[in-house]
Amino acid sequence: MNVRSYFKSAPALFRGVAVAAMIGPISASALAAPDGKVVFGELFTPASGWALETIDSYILSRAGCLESLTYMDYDASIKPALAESWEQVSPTEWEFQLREGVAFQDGTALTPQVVSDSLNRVLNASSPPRSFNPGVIDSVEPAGERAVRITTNEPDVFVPNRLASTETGFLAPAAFVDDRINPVGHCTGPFEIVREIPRQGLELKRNDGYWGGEVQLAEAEVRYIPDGQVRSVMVETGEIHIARQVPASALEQLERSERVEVKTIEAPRTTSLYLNNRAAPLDNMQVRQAIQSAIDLTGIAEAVYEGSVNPAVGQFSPNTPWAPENAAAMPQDLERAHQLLAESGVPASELQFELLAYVERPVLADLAAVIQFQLQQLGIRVNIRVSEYGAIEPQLLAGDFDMVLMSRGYLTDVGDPAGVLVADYSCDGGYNLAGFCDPEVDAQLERASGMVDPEERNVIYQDLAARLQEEAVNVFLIHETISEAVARNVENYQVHAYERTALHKDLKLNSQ
Amino acid sequence: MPIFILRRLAVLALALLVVSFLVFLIPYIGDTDPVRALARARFGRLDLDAAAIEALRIELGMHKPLLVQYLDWLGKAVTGDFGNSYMSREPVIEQVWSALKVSIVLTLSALGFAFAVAVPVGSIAALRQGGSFDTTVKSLSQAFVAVPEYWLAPMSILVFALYLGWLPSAGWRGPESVILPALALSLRPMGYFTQVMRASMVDVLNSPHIVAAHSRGLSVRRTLIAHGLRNALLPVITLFSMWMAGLLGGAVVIEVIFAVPGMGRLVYTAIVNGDLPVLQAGLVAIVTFAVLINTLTDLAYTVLNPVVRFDNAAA
Repeated sequence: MNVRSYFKSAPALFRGVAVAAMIGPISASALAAPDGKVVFGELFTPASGWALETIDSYILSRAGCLESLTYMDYDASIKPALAESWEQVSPTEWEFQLREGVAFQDGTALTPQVVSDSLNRVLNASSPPRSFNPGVIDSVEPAGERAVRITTNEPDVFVPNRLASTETGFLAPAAFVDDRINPVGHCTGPFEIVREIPRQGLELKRNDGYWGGEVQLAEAEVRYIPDGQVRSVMVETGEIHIARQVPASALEQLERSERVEVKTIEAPRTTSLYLNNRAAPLDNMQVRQAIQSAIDLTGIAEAVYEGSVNPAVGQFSPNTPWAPENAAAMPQDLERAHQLLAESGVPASELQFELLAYVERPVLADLAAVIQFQLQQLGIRVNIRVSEYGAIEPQLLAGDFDMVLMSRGYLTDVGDPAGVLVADYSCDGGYNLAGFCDPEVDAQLERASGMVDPEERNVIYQDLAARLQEEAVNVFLIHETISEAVARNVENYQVHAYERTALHKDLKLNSQ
Repeated sequence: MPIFILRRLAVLALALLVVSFLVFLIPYIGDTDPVRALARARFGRLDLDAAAIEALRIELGMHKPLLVQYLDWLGKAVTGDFGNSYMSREPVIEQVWSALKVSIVLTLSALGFAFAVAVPVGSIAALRQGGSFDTTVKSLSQAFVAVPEYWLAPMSILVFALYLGWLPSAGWRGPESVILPALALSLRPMGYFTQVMRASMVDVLNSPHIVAAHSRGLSVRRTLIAHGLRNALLPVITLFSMWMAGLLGGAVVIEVIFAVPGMGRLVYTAIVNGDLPVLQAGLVAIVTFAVLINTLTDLAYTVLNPVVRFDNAAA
């Protein structure tokens, strides 16, 4: 008899003693989400008053409420959304033709003036988003009856990508009253927010006038559930239909469940051991390569992540067009590691490092312990310091550290690796923790930002990725995955690797 | 009585002044820059733009000296204006009041349940000192005190939500969603209340006036109810008020696991995000409540025990 059936067959007296007897047990069916309504278990709680330049805009986008001029599809391609077409009319000018007849849920028409005002509001925010800020964008203005012209400071091929970001989404002008933003009834998307329950969720109904066509679901709901284990349980009990980002520890149980399907995809995110290349002995490439060879990536993927991730082949996953051809994970080779260390001229007995990890990603502390053990096999002593990110950040930015475990997305801002490569590996990069600097790489990255053809850009990214791996600038450990648990009666749900879409017009519930 | 209340109000004002200044220092303790923490929370990323950070610092007035910032805040706070949240830009008072209502319901439910169980169970254990019931109660209450909430909360979700399907796993919608978090939160105070109730009742039962009442022919039940219980309850009430003040803002683990939008989560998130106005107002609310509850407890003492009333009057 399993635990579940034991409890269910327990005598009435036992059940009476239990809590539910005090108020009368609430039946499981009463707890389940209502028929015809999809309940989405969201990881984040909005915290910035729906300011569009913040991550609150992602919540609105996943809720099927907020839309932008363009849309980043599941395969990262840029598709028309509120703009039906666009054209680069000069190296620094882009024109976007607005879709005809689009209106906000409150009836206000989406005009070039409304679009221009909204984008200028984002540009003028005290902290504008990386994807769309005055450093890149010079001006936004209406250009005729249905067009908007966007002028950049320098030639920029990523403008359509920038306009796919959730931060450049649109709410009706009436949503902005004084300093407050109210998205209720003010979006353009397939779902309209009818009620916001502060710090708990959003109640949504179908937008009958949706420009994209008929919306299948009559109602939907977003619930903010910060704990991953709880989201996992709730999708199993039927309280929610979709649990966003379930933890690795819950996967085995969920995969056994009859009512839930686990959907896992590769995330554009790599966990790496960042090495401070500025100072001895980590400025010595052979020392770094020895460390790289001593680490067992497959073992880490299996043991620390319970097999839910893949060993890293470099900065980019092998399934992306930016990974070098035939890229493979570096196998652990202690013999080679010893040899490299001997050739480096740095005795292992002199090697002692402080390894930093941050608590916001709890798995990094376990990972640090495994790396400490594996480097010990080379005779390298490692002291671990796990802290809040804010406490180690000054050290990282000042270059005053040895090694740090980081989880970094590589498609932030513009849906192209340019953002992370410039930030992390150009000489003046804003987040160049490794201290890697090569003027030739800077020149290549600058050239890439002007290349319209993605194939040409990809060659540059592949070359740089190969070099980073070969020189062990950082040690790339695992390519992360995203797992979501979805009730089997939900149709047409796909995991969006860029975290922008969840509730959409084609989502529906079957009668199962 | 008026002097007693005035004295309490003076204590409250002084406590708030001290606490508010100490709270102001929290985000500046350690190496963390509160503006960067705020920006990380707003933008959900680690690689922040230096210009954006400085713009944010100026926008929030956090470039001014700490004392100036504090006095600015204090000047407004005494008029009831706690400002807007740095994160949401919404009035802090709305957020705090909404969270406080949730926490009061959760805490009263948990402590009420703990009290309702502990008083009879502790009393019976005291009456059956050394017996098997007493031994069981002692063991169980010690176990309850030791059970960590981060284990108990997920376990209760597994049993009552997943396996039995009786109660919702998380959220704060309707009375049924209060039960699991309140239960998980009640176990530890229940253990303490039971132990204290038992010990207190043993003392009272051995006191001369109870022995005298008993020797005058009063029944055990009547002696217990008329004389024993009232005196034995005093330390439990003290404990109740201490737990009440503590849990109002200290049920973070339970509130996160059960997705309860209470004060603990609000204040914890404000600390992590460097949201000073929310942190200030949240802690001011908690301290105010703690002092008020303490005052009410003292008043309850005067009702339950005339000796205390006499002491207060003399003072």
